[in-house]
Amino acid sequence: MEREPIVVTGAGCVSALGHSVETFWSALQDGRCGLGKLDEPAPSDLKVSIVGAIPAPDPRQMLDARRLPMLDRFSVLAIVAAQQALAQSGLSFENGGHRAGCVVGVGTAGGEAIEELYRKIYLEGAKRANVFTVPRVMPSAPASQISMAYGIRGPVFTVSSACASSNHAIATAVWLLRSSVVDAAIVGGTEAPLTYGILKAWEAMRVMAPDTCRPFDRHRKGLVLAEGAGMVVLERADHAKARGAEILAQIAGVGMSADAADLVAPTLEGAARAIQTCLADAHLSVDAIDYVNAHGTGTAANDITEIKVIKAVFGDEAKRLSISSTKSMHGHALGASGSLELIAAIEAIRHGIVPPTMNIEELDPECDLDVTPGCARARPIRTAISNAFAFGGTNAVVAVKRFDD
Amino acid sequence: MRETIEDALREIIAKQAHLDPSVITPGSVLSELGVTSLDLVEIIMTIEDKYDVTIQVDAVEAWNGYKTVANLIELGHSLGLEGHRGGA
Repeated sequence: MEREPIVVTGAGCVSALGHSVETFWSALQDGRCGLGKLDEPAPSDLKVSIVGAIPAPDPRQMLDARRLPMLDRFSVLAIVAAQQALAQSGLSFENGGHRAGCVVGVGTAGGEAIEELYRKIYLEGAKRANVFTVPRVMPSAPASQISMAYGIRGPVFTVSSACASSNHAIATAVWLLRSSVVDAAIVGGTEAPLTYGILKAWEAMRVMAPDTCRPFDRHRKGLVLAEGAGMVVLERADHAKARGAEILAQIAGVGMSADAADLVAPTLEGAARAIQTCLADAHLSVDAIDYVNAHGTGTAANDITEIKVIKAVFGDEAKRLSISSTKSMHGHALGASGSLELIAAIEAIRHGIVPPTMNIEELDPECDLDVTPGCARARPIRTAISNAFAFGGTNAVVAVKRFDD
Repeated sequence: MRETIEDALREIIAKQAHLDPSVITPGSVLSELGVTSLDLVEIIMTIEDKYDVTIQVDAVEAWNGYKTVANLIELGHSLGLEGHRGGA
């Protein structure tokens, strides 16, 4: 039986590249890097000196001040992105919302509140915790806060798979839509990891770049941690068309796999299987794909494996592909990365422009495919895939294509 | 002149709900002031800290039991807080 297509009717984001999809896309196509010096928290004993922080104004200023005490930063970012996506979609749920869902990918939860709690009770001897600590820290907070803000009354929950969280969330929402559990879903990911404790924890992993994020460069030194959120509105095409919504793109398919191997060293087989499962789900052969938004973290372990994976899956077609890592501009926003990169892929398709991989000075000879170094490239894109290969070996890939009625 | 429990509550609620104290009267319904269940817990804990008392009530009991500012004033009176020399 022919499946009703799942389409995107709204997108919103906040990232190191600004406060909207417009600023995000304009930076990506211009090759503008949003990574910069870490000002806050004070970097006195932090080795991490470069991050992808959201520029001023603080996204908190975009919400009702009375809601802020119960929102940790990852929830603030998710609500700001959801607000934009829902506004663009034209959907509202005032008269029901029972057939709408919200699925949010989250890597780490509630960093600000948990660090404040520990500082107060362990170091300052406080007698009690802030009453909002639990509501701020719970990983489901962004999803439940979005549901409360917009009256979404169907399935509302968080999905977590480290750096692949967004893509697993999108896959979950696609299933909810295909099985007609919901008519519309607001889905994406959010992350706010730029707190002192979380930065110290990442520093200990020894995967952080001291200079900048330079995926596929011979001298790359690691990833650059970033904050951000991306949210999209998904619907079945018949639902979107019935209400006259503008359709931005179609989610062609989703694929998931796990390495079941090392925690940080990815396997070729696991990642390849995620792409193959995605293409099979989308009923697409490798020659239908034009653009790969790579996981492209800028670590040697990822980049070299990812290029091998692409060669293994695409064979001779690999040379024809445009590949890029937009993390070189917005950084690695962990649980939010997949949703930001899905938005990058949607905009790439809509504009016929492949965003570049920035900061490459000398291409790694082992990364000998077209990784779009330094400058965007005009090219019609029929279908793109967005890769996410996470620590813990959890992989998820999303295929997005132009919607042809 | 000592601060009455009504004055103290007006200040505490105003701070928690980000309101001007002048809009808060004994007849004000807490939910209509934008106070949520957890705001009410914070208000009760602030009363506990200010007067160095313990109020045995959980979040749901409090939300069901104290609907108005007058309900909280009565609570204060029952604990003998009127004219009590509060702390900070």
